[in-house]
Amino acid sequence: MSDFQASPELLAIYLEDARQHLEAVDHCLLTLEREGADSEVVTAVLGPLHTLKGNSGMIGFPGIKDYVHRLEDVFARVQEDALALDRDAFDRLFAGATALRDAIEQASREGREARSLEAEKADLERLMMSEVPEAAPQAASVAPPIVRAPAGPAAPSVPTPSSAPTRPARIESHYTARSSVVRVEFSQLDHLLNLVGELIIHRTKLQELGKALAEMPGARESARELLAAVHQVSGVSQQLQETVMDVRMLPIRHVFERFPRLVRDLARETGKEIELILEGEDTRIDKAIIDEIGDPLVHLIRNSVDHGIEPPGVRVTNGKTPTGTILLSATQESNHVVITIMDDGAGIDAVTVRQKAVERGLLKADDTLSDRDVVQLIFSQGFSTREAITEVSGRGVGLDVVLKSIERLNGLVEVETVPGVGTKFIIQLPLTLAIISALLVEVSDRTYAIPLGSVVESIKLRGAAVHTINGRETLRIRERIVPLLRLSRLFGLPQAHDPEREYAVIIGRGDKRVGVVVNRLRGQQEVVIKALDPAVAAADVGMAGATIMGDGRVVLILDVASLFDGKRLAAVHGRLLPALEA
Amino acid sequence: MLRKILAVDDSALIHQMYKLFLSRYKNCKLVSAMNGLEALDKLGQEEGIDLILLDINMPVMNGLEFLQRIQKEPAYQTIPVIIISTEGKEEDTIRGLKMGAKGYVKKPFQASELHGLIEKITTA
Repeated sequence: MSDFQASPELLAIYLEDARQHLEAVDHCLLTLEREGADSEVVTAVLGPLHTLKGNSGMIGFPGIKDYVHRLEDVFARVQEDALALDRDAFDRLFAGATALRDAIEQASREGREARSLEAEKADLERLMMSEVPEAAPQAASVAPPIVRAPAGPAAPSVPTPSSAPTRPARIESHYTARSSVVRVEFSQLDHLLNLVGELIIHRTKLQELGKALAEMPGARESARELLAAVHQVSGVSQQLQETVMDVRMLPIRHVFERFPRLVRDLARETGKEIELILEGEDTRIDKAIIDEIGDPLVHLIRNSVDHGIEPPGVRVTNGKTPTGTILLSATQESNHVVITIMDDGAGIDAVTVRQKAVERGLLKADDTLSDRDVVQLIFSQGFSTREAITEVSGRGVGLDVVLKSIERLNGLVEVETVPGVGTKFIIQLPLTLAIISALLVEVSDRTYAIPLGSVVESIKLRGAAVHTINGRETLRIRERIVPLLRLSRLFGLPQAHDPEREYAVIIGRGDKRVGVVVNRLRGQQEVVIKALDPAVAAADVGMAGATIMGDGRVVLILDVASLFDGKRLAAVHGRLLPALEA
Repeated sequence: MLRKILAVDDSALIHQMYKLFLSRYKNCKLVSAMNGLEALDKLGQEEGIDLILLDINMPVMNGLEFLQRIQKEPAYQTIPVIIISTEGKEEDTIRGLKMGAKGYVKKPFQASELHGLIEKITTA
């Protein structure tokens, strides 16, 4: 026992390191199971295990330390060829790794060991007792559940990756690259970015002063020098901003690395054979997005395993390889990161989706929506095509949750599918949540920012084009009826009564459109997002954050997704009625 | 009086704990290295290191290799080394002691154990 009480700071460091070590264990097991015994792979995991053992002892978790010690013994015996792992052994080792993870997470949260690993430790000891049979079988003959097989011609929708990832090297470099790394609290980086944001604001102010000074007789020379100096400051602050942004970025590997284990476990649960291929793990994205994108991706991968990939027998009957493939890839495209989840499974049948959508009242029976658009309805609230609830997905949580999560990150999600060939989910995310391009609009002399990614078009509003349907103002744009939302009413602002000065900014969410009525368009600008106080945010005010303008004014950024919220629209509607009655 | 201690370990947690455990040595600077190679660099950069706390199992260059290197350098061979070992690697600790390390502590250790050993070695 240690003679000190582990502080939350120490526990956090312990947990962060332990998670990396646990990833190394998962990775090692997955590789061994898939590719057979490999001494190099085992060696790569012994270092992390040894460190985890030492750390667990030092922080005062002897039960965890002892279990890791046993696990080290198991791997050491595998390395010496004194222990061969069969399918059952892998299952037990994976289960043990999960128990270890649970124990570590719980102990780090509570500051003391709460989950006993005694049963798992005894299991490891039993595993070690098993002797190596004559002519120790290499894993290839142990019938691993996942067979490495490139997507054949039967699965044209999933391309074979151009370069197969070499994982053992990755773990090694991951493990050793840490020496030049400095730990920084993310909140400090946030603070740094805020300071840079303010610096840029003051720079703009200086620029304006310089320009004003240049207009004054006799001050022209000084103004010229001032502006030259401001120009220099401009360049440096721009670089500073880019550097700080860059520091906040992490490779998407931090999210991807837990999926091989997930897919392996799901495949076992569902009796399917699935190979997961990862691509573009080095693509970098803001840490704030890394923290949020995990759950939606888990959901989509579960969906591919459960609804996409067919059981081996069905696949073979359909002329496919028994092993299905899921390709998870990330690439950067200009200011965005695009993540795709592609499977060579059954695809989504538009006819079934159309039927369900009609049953659920999401679509009219005679609607002429194209198949491609119909398929997007799987993201609608309350939509699920599977009758039976399985262990894997269909837990009452639909893809609408995925859509919402991704929209909260200012991203987009789409699905493309070919029945019988496969399905591809495409997620487009901004590189960062800290800076966005926004359209600045004015409502009743107040300025608001609308994230540009959601803006479809803006239209000069003429009184004649507005129709009132069921008590709601709507606008007819080409063949569509678009409901209008008056921000002045939503926010209870004094109404501007100059219809000539009104514009409708049409914002889109999936297939839906809403026209936001504003008094003036003030152009687009890159804005640094500052989070609202949680007390304000919790009140659900329809704001995604705030930003500060060059003149020091605070401008609120609209939360576009919330403007599509039915309840909100009803609230606006509700507020309208008393006013009419009065 | 201790002025500088070089702590060599691949675990960020252990470095944080050294900071805590060694805070009783006022005015003593703690120099950290994540592996043997980095520790050699630190020895070159920092003058007047009085003591080395050395983990054995580290990537890039392990503790024993590091120990072997510094034992060949007249400038470094007189710096006392304490091996910080972990259960299950007893043979490495013995090798380290044979190579000239002055003592060892086994993880998990208490602050008082480390203090006792440091005092014994540095006042000897």
